[in-house]
Amino acid sequence: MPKDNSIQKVLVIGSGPIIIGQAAEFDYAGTQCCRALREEGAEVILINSNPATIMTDKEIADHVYIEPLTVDTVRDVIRKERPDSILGTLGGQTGLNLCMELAEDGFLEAQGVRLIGTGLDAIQKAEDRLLFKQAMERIGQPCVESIVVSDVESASVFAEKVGYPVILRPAYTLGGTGGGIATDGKTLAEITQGGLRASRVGQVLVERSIAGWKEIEFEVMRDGAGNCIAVCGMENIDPVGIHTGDSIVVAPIQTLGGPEFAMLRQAAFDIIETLGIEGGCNVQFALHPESFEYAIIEVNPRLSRSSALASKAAGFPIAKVATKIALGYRLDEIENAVTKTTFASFEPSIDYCCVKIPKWPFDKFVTAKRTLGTQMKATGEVMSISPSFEAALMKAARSLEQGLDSLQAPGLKCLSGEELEERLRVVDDMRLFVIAEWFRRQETDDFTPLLDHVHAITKIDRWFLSKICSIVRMEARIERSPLTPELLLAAKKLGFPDSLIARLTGTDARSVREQRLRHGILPGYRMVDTCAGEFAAQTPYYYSAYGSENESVKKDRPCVVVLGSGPIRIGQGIEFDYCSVHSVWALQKAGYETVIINNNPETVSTDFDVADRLYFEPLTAEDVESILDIEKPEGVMVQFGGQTAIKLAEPLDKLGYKIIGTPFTGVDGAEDRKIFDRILEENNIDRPRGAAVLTREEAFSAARKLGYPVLVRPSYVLGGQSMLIVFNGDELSDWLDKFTPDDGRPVLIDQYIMGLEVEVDAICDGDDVLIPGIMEHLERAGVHSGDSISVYPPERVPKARRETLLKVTRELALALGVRGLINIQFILRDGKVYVIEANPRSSRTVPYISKITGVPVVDLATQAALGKKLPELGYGYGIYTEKNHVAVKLPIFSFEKLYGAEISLGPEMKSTGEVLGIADNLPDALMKAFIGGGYLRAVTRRVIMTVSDGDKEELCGLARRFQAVGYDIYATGGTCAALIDHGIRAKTIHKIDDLKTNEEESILSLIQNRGVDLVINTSAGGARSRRDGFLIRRYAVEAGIPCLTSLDTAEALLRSLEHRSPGRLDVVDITEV
Amino acid sequence: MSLALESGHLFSGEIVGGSYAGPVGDVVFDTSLSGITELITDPVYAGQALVLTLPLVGNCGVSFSDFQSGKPQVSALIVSEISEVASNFRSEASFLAVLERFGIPAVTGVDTRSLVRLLRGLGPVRGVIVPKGGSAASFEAPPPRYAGERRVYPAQSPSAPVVTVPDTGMRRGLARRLNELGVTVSVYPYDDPSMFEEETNGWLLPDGAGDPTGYDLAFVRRIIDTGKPVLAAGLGHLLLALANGARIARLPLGHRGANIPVRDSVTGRVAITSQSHGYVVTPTPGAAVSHVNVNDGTTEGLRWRENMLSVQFRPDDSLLTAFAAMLR
Repeated sequence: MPKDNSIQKVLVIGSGPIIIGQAAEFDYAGTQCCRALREEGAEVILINSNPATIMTDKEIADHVYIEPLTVDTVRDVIRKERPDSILGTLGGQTGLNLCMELAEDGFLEAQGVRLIGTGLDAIQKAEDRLLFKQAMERIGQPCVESIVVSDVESASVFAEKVGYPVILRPAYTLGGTGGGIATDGKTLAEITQGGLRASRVGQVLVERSIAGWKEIEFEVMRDGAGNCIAVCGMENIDPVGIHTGDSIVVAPIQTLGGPEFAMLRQAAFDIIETLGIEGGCNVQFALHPESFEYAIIEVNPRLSRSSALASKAAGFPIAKVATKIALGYRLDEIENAVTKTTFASFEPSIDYCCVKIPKWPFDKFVTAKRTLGTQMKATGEVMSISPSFEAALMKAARSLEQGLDSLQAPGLKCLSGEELEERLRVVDDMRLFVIAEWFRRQETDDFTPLLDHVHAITKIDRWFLSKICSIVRMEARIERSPLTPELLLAAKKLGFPDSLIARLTGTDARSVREQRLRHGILPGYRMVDTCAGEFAAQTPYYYSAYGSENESVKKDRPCVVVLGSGPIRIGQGIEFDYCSVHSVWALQKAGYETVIINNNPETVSTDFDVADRLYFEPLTAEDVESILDIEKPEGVMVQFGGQTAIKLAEPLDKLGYKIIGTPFTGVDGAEDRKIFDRILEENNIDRPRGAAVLTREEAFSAARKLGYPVLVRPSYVLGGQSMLIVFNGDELSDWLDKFTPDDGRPVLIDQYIMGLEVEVDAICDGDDVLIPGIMEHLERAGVHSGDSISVYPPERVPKARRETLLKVTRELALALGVRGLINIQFILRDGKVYVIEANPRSSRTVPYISKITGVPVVDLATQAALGKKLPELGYGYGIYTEKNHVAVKLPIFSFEKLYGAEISLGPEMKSTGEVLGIADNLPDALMKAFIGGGYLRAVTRRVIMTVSDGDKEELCGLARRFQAVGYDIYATGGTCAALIDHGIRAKTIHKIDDLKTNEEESILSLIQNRGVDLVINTSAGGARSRRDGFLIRRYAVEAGIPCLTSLDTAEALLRSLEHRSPGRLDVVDITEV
Repeated sequence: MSLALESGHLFSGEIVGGSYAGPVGDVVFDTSLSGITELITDPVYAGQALVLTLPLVGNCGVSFSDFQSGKPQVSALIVSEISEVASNFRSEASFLAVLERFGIPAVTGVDTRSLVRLLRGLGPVRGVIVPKGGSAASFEAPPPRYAGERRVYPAQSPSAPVVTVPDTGMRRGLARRLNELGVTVSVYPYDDPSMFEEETNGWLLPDGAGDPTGYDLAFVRRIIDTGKPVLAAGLGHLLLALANGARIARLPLGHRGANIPVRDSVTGRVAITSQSHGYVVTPTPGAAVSHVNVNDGTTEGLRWRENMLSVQFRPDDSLLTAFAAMLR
């Protein structure tokens, strides 16, 4: 069956902002899909609200709509562009749901648009719990005993019948939103209520608990002719009960015998056959650990996080093949891009071991519950490849960038034996390290009973435990025996970094490295080739292996290594992958051979056809150095991979490798407070004044001198962690109680200037700078720039001030020796420009500013870093000509996934993603952003206001405006009194503490019954009010009601509402802006 | 200990299992990701040194019910790592213990990827296990031979049709699957003429080891002459072709793995098949090509006559069902 030539113009739907459960994997899938479509001559129309993606580049699609992902918007795009086909299985759950809504109500048919790939019928059968169960019953595939309910009562009847615990899963949600395990009637009622709300169709599945069974996944593909292949089988180390997105996963499957393996593989084929999948599909099974009994946990009839992982683990481009299947090709007609001699119908074989470990955001959310369950909490993940499981695990552990180079976590050392034993029972992000520490403490050589003990508690298969044990035993061996070359090689084969070996032998990492070099103990780089070496392959995709020959072949051209940005986390998201990939492309254009090093399986940068060579390795100094030793590049590009890459500038510089662009001294100058202050002083640049203090007394005296409010933070923490704005001595005292370091490191106290925050990304070529655009933050300074609404072009920055910004940017960039990108944050107040921070690297605003201004920022920065001058690149110096369109970048949060997390915005970043609104005026751009962010879904036109005393005055002005656009106002005691005083109609509602049962309009019932559209809450003051505020915010988040914690955000929302009612706005093709 | 190849290459590792040192016959590799017990006990690997590309072997221990014949058939095993623990509810012995019990030498700690990359370029090559520092005296090993056995695998129904098997290398799993499809399987050593005395509904020429040209084809011709339904697979497919006067050729690489795509020439459907062989039948007049390899286009199945199914791969369920129907 060759290509279907009636498919000429295809609409591809993206997955929207990065949230927990839906991350960069869909940019990877979508980008690959668009490229495959264009390779086949189809015209591609793309819609995605996320501007940080590569798929929304002009180079990837023919028409790009960065618009809200709503049914209305997609309809408008279809009416405007008139595609003949739509592909909805590559945009995550978001894209799939949109497609289904459009198909179900007959719109697609009416418009003559075909849903290509897996059809509506198949999607419905896979997604609808009841239809799925019936389909599986027909072919004798076992599902977990379960019932679909739409009320709490039925759930409880079922739970009584099968017995607690039961697992609850809402239909049509991603990442298990709103799900959980109920152990009794009370928790059942709570979770069911939440789940019913979270579900698009108001359904929750209640099922028998099979916690503790093995969790096995198969990524399978089927073409229109019914041919099937299993791309990759994966095994979750954490048994059923923990969301697969929060599980450590290994590929290939390790603990199944031949018959069990064959049984599940065949079951996966039978399932996709009966569903009628045409493309990729993920099938998750639970397998009883001591019998052949199994049950289907879930089937995803689309590309998923697991399919991205499987693609990278097996070297098989699932999204590309799925796209070609959608175009009509059969599996045996699609060439294997890796071997070029086999076809896509060849099942990949793997001669290594892959381990994925999730990256959790608990460092950012100290109050959030760290325990893991059926609700996914990870923001990202790392993967590693190695011939041994131990080394893969060790490599993945150090790729997480949580300050650990191995399975040794210093924090666990202080636990007593009993405490540690207790911790084994807790399933949280540290479990792997707890298990290792537990083994470390056992003084016996007979490890069988140890494995049995830990297995009984954790249900983790003994084989995995034996491998953790083997790592721990190697630690002991190194500690106790002389470090012979044999032992050193054995340790390296288990993935031990030099730093760990050094720690265990009481030396330093350099000495270990020297010893290695003396004995020729170096890693070889093996190819990921889909065929276990059976055929010669050309894939430039490598991983390190000790005791192996090197297969990585360098060509003659000069080469540049680009460091990627590692796992997606809060503060360092997909934007940096965008920058890394664009830098690679720019280098290729400049004639260089390119190498990328990264460890994130979800990203475009780790697609093997992006750079000339991909090394899937941890981003540590040692791992990178080993690659550089082989590659001998002209230099290393560290400015595009976020903090992960730039922090390697120092070690690489010391090793004598050339940092391309801004030298290490520039990086250091921006990071080191003393040097930075000196540079500012020398150039007469203003900054908020500050002090570093060591004692409480010094802190109070410094704060008084600077004048409250002040910004406080420990000096050793990056990225705004534990940062706070304190308004008085009491708050300072509170903060110092919590955060004063006891190791003699200083606390930093800065003057807090409440002004307008402005941000620029600039490109410097050593002579002068180009600023593609100035971005203005709507929230006043104090809210982390990544959590602020950012507007281009700025509306409140007068011409004269823009010139000052340019001048300061130029001076600072030249003083730091920047060649390439610099991001600077300013505060404007009383006609003065203050610099708060400068980073000589790419930033999270680069993709958005590139798209909206049309300036290829990363491309220019890469060329400037290589030594080109901006005028010869055609964009000149100064501030680039402003566009007529207004773009609003709105942060998106994942608070509902993180039970107990504080949602109030502050200097510490909390958002996971962003959406963009583009229009020809600010209010409309704002409205699009708010629609895209889901702020304007409900229509009750009621708002709850409860704000701190300091905000009441300002709130009154806003409240009057809310009233004017038709909102009813509900407010708590003090806030309500203030509003009424100002002549604003407002209803009093009771605070959390004053709750009376059956109170019709208590704050809680209003929120839980979704009687309001919006909550505006700011916190301050005493402990009680803080706690109340926290609870109100959490309730709002868990009920899915937008909660604004800054009055500036509320003001922005008002501006859009005052301009027009929420409704349809013209869609903008950014390729025409 | 090391594995020395005829080509002069040496791969060192540690020896476990049997303590044998000496020639191990052809060194071949298999890319399967699971079912390793099945693989090493498959008669098709009799007398050959098997290199596994799967790096972690024996994680689940061994369940004797997974044996495809009475014992491990490989002459030696070359692997990267054998698991210390046997973690599976069906495990009856650790992988290592089984190798020891049957005296199968295994060289572990080998850079198997480099070895495979070498083998794919060398074509058929023989090996010797030598002590460290030692050198290979001779590569001559006894030709791979599988003795065959007399055994009946009865289907549940006493009136079930019977298929007779000359045992060049019958896998037990195949016999049991036929039982499930309602067929009684009667196995004879392939050179035992008494198999022709039994009443039968059809014949199965199974897979097996070694050079197909080394077999006396008389029993195959006799089977053809009975006119009864025949299913031939793997080595059986080659023997049937030779008996029908076709020619076979040695493949440069061979097909060894569980992931080989084969297209049915009639339906166009592609199946992912398991194969372990180094030969191919060259196109022959008189036989319709029923299956083709998707990757290299070689012949994977031939139809010599209406009631004869002959394929190069391990027959899948659709073939077995079709064959079972012919027997009734």
